Amino acid sequence: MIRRTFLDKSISVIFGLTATLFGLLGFASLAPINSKISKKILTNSNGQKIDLSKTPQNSIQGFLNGKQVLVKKESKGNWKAISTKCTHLGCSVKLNEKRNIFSCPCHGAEFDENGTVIRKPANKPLETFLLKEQKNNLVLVETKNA
Amino acid sequence: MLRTWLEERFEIEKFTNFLKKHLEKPQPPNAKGIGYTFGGVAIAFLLLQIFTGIILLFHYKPTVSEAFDSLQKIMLEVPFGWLFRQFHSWGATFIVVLVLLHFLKVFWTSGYKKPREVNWLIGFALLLIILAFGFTGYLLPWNQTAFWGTVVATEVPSSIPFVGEFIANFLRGGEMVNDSTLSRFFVIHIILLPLALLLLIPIHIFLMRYFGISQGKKIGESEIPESELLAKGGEKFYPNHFLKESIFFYLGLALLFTLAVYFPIELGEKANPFETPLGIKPEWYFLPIFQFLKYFPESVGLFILGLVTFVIFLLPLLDKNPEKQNSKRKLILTLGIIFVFCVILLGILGYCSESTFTIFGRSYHFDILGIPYEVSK
Repeated sequence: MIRRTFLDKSISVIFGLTATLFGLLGFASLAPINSKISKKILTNSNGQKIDLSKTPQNSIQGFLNGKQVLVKKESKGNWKAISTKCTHLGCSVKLNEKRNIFSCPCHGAEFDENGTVIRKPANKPLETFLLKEQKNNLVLVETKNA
Repeated sequence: MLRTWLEERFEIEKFTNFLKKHLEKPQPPNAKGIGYTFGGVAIAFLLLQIFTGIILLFHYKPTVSEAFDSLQKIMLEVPFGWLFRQFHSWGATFIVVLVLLHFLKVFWTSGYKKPREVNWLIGFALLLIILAFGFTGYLLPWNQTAFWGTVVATEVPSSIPFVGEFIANFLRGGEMVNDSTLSRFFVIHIILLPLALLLLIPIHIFLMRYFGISQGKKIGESEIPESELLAKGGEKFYPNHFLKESIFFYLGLALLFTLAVYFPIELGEKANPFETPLGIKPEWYFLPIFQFLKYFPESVGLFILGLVTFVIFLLPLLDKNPEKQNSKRKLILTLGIIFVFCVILLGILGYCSESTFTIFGRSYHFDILGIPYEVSK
């Protein structure tokens, strides 16, 4: 009887552990995969580095640190990027060139040109980044408001 | 001939008798109204949804570059593709409405009280699964509203302290809504959620049959035993109750067909991750939550929402009043009515918010919080 109880319990434990192990492995496999491309370099939507020699503009749209950004030239070799991801619920803010502000089409939040909140419901400022030119690419030097 | 062949090998009679006994199981006399058909009709529409979903799967391609185009092809080139897609899109709304009505009926008739508590818990899990079907299916067409609706919805958990960012990234499979998000929503929609339904619906039906339908008796009064139900005014499930459910199902089917033909759900524009369109809103059944979250700082709103969900889930354990008669359950019924009223009000405010409507010849713009301001034309 004791041997039978032991066998029953052992089977339950072994099957339970097997199911748990596979469950945990499956769960782990769903973790977001980090991009192999350095997050410190400005890329396009396909993850390719943006080559400044082929992008002769003073204002560029791209991706940095996993976020969509709008990049502007500040001085020679120095650029400033501002994340266009609204800090309220993630919609893409638009630059209103007349008023020189960023406004969110989802819930009406507004940010000034430096990313500071000027109209709720957003509470946090837009993330901003300082970039430097390096071999025709833009490389992240400093992150602000993160 | 086939029957004889089978009878030589299996005890067919035993099986048919078992089936007949269960099909003809009597329903209590109080279970004759429309309200008692919602669950059965919801299951019928769920079967239809599975059928239309399988048809769509033959043509749908779950990748960022092909999803929208494959849907367009289904609508324009596949024979009756437009009909199946419209049935599937409108069908989701039908199921949510039916499940919510079924849920309210169970609440109203004390169907969650002892000994049926476990079935309430399973039923509530089924309601959440149905909503998850809607949430994951919404992204699959990969159009502008689907994409940005999902961006907003998956961003909501990120305000939870400490683990919020992880949950948001885990839901999306990355920092942004992209091909990983589409893949995981697709797998959840067509495999995991149907598996969960296949597991829970039979248990839900088994428990309903096991305990029978609540008869709403007074304290001290015992429920009519199954053997006496027919004599005391009850009716058989088949054909009586089944016939009623069939009538409502076919009426629903006629309505579904009318909506599919006269009010088709448009596919809209292909998702553009660089441009958020104006007036992003979720499916109607998520509007109350969407609007509620606008009135509170994100983490506070989520906390209240989680708490309310938890309280409803545990209702059979929290509502200790053993009375099943509505005249003796005034407090809980009043709370329930207030809750339903708030949900409907929030839904209406969510629908109106950030839009302009003309009411009695005057134009009103409803701001983000749903407050109307008169605007000149």
